[in-house]
Amino acid sequence: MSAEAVRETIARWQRGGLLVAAVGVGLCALAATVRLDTLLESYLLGFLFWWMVSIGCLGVLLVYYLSGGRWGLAARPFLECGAMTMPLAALAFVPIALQMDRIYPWAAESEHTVASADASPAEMTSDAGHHIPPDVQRLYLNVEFAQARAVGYFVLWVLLVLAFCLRARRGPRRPRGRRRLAAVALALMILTCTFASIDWGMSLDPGWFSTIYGALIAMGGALAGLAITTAAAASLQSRTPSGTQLVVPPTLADLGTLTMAFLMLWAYFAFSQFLIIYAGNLPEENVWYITRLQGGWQWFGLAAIVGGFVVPFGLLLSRDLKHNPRWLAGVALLVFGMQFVYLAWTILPSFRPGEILVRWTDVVAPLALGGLWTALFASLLARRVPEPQPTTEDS
Amino acid sequence: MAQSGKNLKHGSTRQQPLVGDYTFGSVTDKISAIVLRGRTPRNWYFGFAVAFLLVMVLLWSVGYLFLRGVGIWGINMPVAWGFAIVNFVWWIGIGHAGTLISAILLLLRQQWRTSINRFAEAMTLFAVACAGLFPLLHLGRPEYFYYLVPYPATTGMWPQFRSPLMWDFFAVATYATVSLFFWYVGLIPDLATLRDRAKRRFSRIAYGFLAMGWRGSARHWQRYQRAYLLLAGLATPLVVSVHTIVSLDFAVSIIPGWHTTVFPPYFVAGAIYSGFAMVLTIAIPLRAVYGLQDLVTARHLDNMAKVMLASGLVVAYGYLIEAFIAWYSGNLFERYMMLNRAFGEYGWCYWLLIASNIVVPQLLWFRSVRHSVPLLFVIALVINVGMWLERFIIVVVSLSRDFLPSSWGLYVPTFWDWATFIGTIGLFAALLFVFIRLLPMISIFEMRELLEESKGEHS
Repeated sequence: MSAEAVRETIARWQRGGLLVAAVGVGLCALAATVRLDTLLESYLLGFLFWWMVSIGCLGVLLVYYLSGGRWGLAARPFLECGAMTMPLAALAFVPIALQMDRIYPWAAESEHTVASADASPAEMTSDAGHHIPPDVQRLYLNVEFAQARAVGYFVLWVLLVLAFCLRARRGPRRPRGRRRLAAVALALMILTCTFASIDWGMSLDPGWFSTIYGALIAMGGALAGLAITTAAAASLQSRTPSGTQLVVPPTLADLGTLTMAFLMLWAYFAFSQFLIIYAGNLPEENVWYITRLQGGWQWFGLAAIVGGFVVPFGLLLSRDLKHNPRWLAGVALLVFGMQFVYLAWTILPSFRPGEILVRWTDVVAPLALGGLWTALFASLLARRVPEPQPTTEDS
Repeated sequence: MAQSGKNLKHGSTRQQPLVGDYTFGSVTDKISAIVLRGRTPRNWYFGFAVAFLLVMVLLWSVGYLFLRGVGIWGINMPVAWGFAIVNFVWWIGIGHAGTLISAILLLLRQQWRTSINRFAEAMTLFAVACAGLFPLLHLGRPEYFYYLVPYPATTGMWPQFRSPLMWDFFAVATYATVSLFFWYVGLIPDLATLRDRAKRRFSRIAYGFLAMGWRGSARHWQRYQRAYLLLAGLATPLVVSVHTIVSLDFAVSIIPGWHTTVFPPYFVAGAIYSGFAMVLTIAIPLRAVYGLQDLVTARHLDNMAKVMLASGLVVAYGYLIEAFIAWYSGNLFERYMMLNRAFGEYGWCYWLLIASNIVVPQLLWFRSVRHSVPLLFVIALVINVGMWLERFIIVVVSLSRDFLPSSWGLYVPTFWDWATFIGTIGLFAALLFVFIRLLPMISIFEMRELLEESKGEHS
């Protein structure tokens, strides 16, 4: 009886995801015929977000392998399913890899910058515009090498997913004897994730640089992955009939607490970057924030601060809320959604500085990818989600 | 079922127990005897004598400093922050492990913190004391340090709140206060134990005075637990905030090598790294001298080594990303900064730093290394040196080469720089020697709790 309610919910997620994906892909196909460049911008945003979620799930899973803890027992099936969407992210990257010259200034301006190779150092450093250092472009930011790197990243990540999600499927316990492997895997993952975020996100503004950027993206991904895990676990829990439980309630509260911890870390990274660049006020750095704090974009930033940090942080302080699956699922979804808003705030102004300009594809393309992601996630989850158990007293 | 429950708790059955074969009585005897009954080991006298000698060196060099001013140090323009700031950051970083162990691991319900938290907290206090000296001495006119306090002065002087140096004052003062309370509150039940067990009248009065009338009633315990958890909650953000603000001292400026966005988390990781290295540096000799191998067990050392490895990898990430972005930015000054770090006048420091902070600690991946006490001790010492070098490179190398070649200059530490630094090591050691002689270095009642819990686990 009770297992059916859970299965039915998961099946509904799958159907809903497929429906959204079908409509979204259709609309994107339409947009592609009209304005391919705009669609690609929106698509990049969608790709980056869902890739962050997948890699975030993998990262949190590896952290669990290292640290252990009660929270992981509940989270593991969800994290595994989230990480196993990695091949989807790899596929979704193909259009970006093929259209790099339409997206990235460094891929388009290959001839333009050769002329500035002999620019004086003063020009190179004082101009905040798209001055791509010639040697960086020759050795790092070029299409061939960027594509090769992307292949390398995805091969590694898919291998990690195979190693950590497929083999150790059975049993509620943390598989033993893989801690050292998990440590190496986590180190490699953070490193590749850093360079991937430089390649795919930071390089949208060549000449702009921030050493915390990769860590911030990785942290955002971990937060989004944990938030969707918490949301999924809590909403399934809220749908199990009374007298049974999918997740032991304190464990669910632990997930809420961990989400709050990640939220604080993410906000700490994001604020550090802002404060240091603000205080330094160097033209080559502050231009990135100036673009994002003008012409209406500032409202995105404000929404990300208030809705993405202040409100969920305040709510997650409450112990009652963390014990209420419905509320917890709601707050986790808020955190998840606001990570998207934050990412949109960091990505879109690179394409459209000045006036705020949000196109309908900015919503549709990420939704289409999200529909696919959700459908895949749900179909994997249907096979892994544990059976609801009768409620025990000691929980 | 019980078996699987145990596995869940500890992850692996291969791990040794956290505490040896003790009863409530014997564990209390063992720890309190170090203070009350055991003969003070000859090593203690020797160690304290050396440390005391170094404290005299500190007093001598500080006295001379007051007489002559900061000109006795190697600082100059452009390198206006020399050893004083290097040592400040180094000492304050060391303190962080104590707070992490006592507060964060408490909130995370990590039982292995229990036998190491007391002396780690003491280490925090003494390290903060050493750290706090340096900015004051560096002021040149330390008698005016109270200008940092925002009080309604008739002079109309008001601190510059936009300066992180100002935030530092508050951060460090808060840190010292909370750490002191946390440590003292944790000590109260043990002070009462010492009071009850002391034979001499003076000891009874002294420990009784400090125990503040603790009788161990249920109400006392309930209030104690609440206060302790509250203090742990207060101390937790300090693990991050203090070193973040220290990093902002550098990062909000625009000096290449200082102004970089990764500094806050990278400094915090570095602080934990050096702090755990220092905890090991202290714990290993202590357990050998006082025969505490079954209280500070191989598993404690193993766990600390793992934390050290993890935080060391974060630090390595910081070095890597700093170097990569310096190149990636194409910024002339950033690139020059990296080249100068590696191949300039102080290049040897950089390579020594890489060797001691990144290369050597990779040995900790191996279980056999983590279980070899002498090797662990050597690695901890190497990391202590490495983290000091890191701060030296950040402070001195960056300042020595800023934007204008006409204002470049080198820094050479003088005798007085070294004397002051070594003097604070003496101060730290002397305080530590006094602490282990007069107070229980391991929390007695928490060990009893741990015994009770591990007993339940085995049944």
